[in-house]
Amino acid sequence: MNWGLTMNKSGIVARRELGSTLGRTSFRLMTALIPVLGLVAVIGFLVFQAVRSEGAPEEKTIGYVDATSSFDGAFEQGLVTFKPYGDEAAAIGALLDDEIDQLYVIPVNYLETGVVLEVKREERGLSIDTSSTTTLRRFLVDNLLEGAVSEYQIERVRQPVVLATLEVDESGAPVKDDPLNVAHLAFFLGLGVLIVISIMTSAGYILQGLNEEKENRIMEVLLSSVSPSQLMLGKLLGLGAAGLIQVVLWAISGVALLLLLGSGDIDLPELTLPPPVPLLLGLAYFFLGYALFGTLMAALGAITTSQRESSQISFIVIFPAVAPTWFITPMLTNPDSTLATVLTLIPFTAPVTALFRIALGAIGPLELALSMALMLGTIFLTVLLTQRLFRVYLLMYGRRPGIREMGRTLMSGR
Amino acid sequence: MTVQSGSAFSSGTIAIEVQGLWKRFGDKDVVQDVSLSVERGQVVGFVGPNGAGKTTTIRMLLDILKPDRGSVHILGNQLSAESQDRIGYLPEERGLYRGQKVTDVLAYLGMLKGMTKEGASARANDLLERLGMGEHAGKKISEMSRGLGQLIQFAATIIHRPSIIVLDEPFSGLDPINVRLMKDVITELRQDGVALLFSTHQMEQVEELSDKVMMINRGRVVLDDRLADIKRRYRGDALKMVVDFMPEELDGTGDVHRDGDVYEVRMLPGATPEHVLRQLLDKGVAVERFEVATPRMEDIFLMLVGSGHELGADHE
Repeated sequence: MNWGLTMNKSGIVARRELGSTLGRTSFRLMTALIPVLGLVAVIGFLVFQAVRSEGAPEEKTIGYVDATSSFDGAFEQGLVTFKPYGDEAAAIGALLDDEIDQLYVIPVNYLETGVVLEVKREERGLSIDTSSTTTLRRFLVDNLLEGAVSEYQIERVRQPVVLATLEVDESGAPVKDDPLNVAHLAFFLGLGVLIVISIMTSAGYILQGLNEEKENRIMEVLLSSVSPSQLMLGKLLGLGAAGLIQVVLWAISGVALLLLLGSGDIDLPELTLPPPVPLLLGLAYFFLGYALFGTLMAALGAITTSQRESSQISFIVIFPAVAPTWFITPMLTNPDSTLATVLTLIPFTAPVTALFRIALGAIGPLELALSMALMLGTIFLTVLLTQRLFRVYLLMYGRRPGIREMGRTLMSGR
Repeated sequence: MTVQSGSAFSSGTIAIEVQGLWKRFGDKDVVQDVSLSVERGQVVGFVGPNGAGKTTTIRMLLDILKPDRGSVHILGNQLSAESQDRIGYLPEERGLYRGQKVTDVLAYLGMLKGMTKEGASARANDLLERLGMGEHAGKKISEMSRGLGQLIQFAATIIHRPSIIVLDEPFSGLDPINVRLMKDVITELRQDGVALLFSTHQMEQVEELSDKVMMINRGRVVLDDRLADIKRRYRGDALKMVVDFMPEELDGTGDVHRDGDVYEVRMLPGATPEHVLRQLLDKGVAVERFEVATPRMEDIFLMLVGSGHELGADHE
C-alpha cells in the first residue's frame, strides 16, 4: 500500500468532511445549544440564589426572653447580635416594630427538654423558611459552657470531629500517592461523559454522511477515486475532528460556566489539570474509544440503506459505550471489584470504565496494558472487517444484507 | 477550448488490458473469463442485456471490486491506486453532493484524482464554460435540472484529464442538444488519444460512436470485434429494394415482405445479390434502389442474446 497516497486522499476526504460538517446548520445549532442551555441553567441558579438572599440583612438582631436566667453572655455571634428582653410582651412588641428580626423564648424547663420557642409574625400565602438554628445553637452552647470548660472544649463541643485519613499499604507504611482531588475526579468523569457524547455526535455524523452519500448515489464516483479504507479513514479523521471541536467547545463553555457560577456564593474546588500520567492515559482512552466506536458506526453506515434505518439500529453501538455509566456507584465505592476489572478488559466498555478507575487511581499498570492491548487489537480487527463491509455494501442500494450474507462477506474478504 | 487528456503511464498503444476476469457472488458466477482491451484513441461499446455482468466488469477494472481471478492492466501497469487516478468514471448510478456548489464539488472530485485545489477549481470553471454551464458555477447542485446534473457528472469524469474514460449509460436523461454536446466532447477526447469504454443499451449510440464493440451475456463474452467487421460478419441474406413492381418468380429468393415502398427479399442459400439484380433487370423491372441489408446492432444484439431481454436500465 502506498501510505503517502492513502494519507493524502484520506486527508482530502477528512478536510471535506470537516468543512461540510462545520458548515451544517444542525451542527452549529447543536454546538450552541448545550452551552446556551447551561448558561440558562447557571443564570437561573444565580437568580434563584439572589432572590433567596434578597432582603436578608447581613447584620441581624435576634431577641430572646430567658426564663432560666442562664443566658447572659456571648451576645455577639458573627454578624448576629442577641438582645435579651425581660418579658414576652416587650419582646413581641419589638418584633412587631421591626426592632429585632427574630424572637426566641427559652422556657424554664429548657435544660430538661431542650425546647426553644420561636415567635414569628403571621405570614399569608407561601412562606419559605430561611431561618437557621446554627447561630442559636452556638449562642446556647457558649452560654452553657462559658467558664465551666476551656475554649478548646467549647470548640470541640461545637465541632466534635474533623476527619482526616491515612492510607497504608500491606506493610503498614503510609501510601505516598498523591490522591486525585475532587476537581480531578470530576475531570475524568467529565471525560467519560464526553466519550459517550462524542460517540453519539461524531459517530452519528459518520452514519449520516455515509447514508447521504448512498442516497445521493455519489458513492460509486468516490470509490472510483479512493479505496474504501481511504474513505473510511478520511471520514473517521474529519468527522472525529468535528466531534472533537464540538466537545472542546462544550468543555470550554463548561469551564466558563463554572467560573460564572463561582462568581456567586458557591464554593467550587480549585480548577487545575490532573497529573500528566493519568491525563495522558485518559486522553489515550478517549481517542481509542472514538476510533473503536467510530469504526463500528461506519460499519453500520455501510450496511444500512437510509438514515432512518441506521439511527434505529445505532443503539447496538451506543449500548455498550453507555453501559458502564449504569455502574458508576458500585465502581466509585469499589473500583477494584471484579465487575470493574471485567468492564475494563472488555474493549467496548473499557474507555468509560477505565476513565473512572484512572480517576480513582484504582487501575494497575498490567491491567492498563492488557486493556489497551485488547482495545488496539479489537480496533485493528474492526477496521479490517469494516473495510470488507465497505467494499461490498457501500454500493448496495435499497437492501440491507442479512446476517448470513454479511458473515460470508466478512469471512471471504471480497 | 479543447478537452485534453493528461500524460499516460507508458507509451504503448493498449490503454486497458483485461485478462480472464472472474467474479462470483454467492453461488453465481457473474463474470466468467472476460477479457477485453481498449487502445488509446479507441472507443469501445460495451453492451449486454440486464444482469449480463457489465457493471461488475467495469467495477473490477476500476478497482472498486476485487476479481476472484484474472488481471487488469492500465496503461501497461498492473491496476493500482495510482492507475486509478488515470481513469475517469461516469457510473450509471450517479449523484453529487446536493447541498454543495457546483465548482466545489468538481474541485473536490478533481483533488481526489490528484489535482491541486487551485488546478481543479480552474479546470472546473473551464469545463463548465466548455459545456455551456459557466453561469451555473456558483449554484448548488440541488438547483440543477437532471440533465444539467448529468453534464456536471460528465465534467467530474474528465476534470483530471484522464487517459482512460469509462462511461456507463452516459446519455440517459440528456436532451438531444446535450447528447450532441457530449458526443462532440467524446470525439475530441478520442482525437486526443483518450481510450473510451462506454456501456449503453442504446444501440444506435454504439453504432455511431464505437470503433469496436464488446458484448457479454450471462457473464461471458459473446462478441468482441471491430464494428465494421461485426457488420460484415453478420451481414444477412436479405436484400432491400425499391422497384416499380415485384415479379412473382425470382430464382434464388424466398420470403418477400413489403414495408411501404421498400421490398425486403430473403435470398436462398447459394444465391447472390448480383444474380437477383440481373433477373430483375431482365424482367424489365425499373430498379430505383437495391442494397444488401446491413444488420443494425440492435438486430445483432437480439440475435446473440435473444429477444427476451428488456433494453432498459441495468440493475446488476
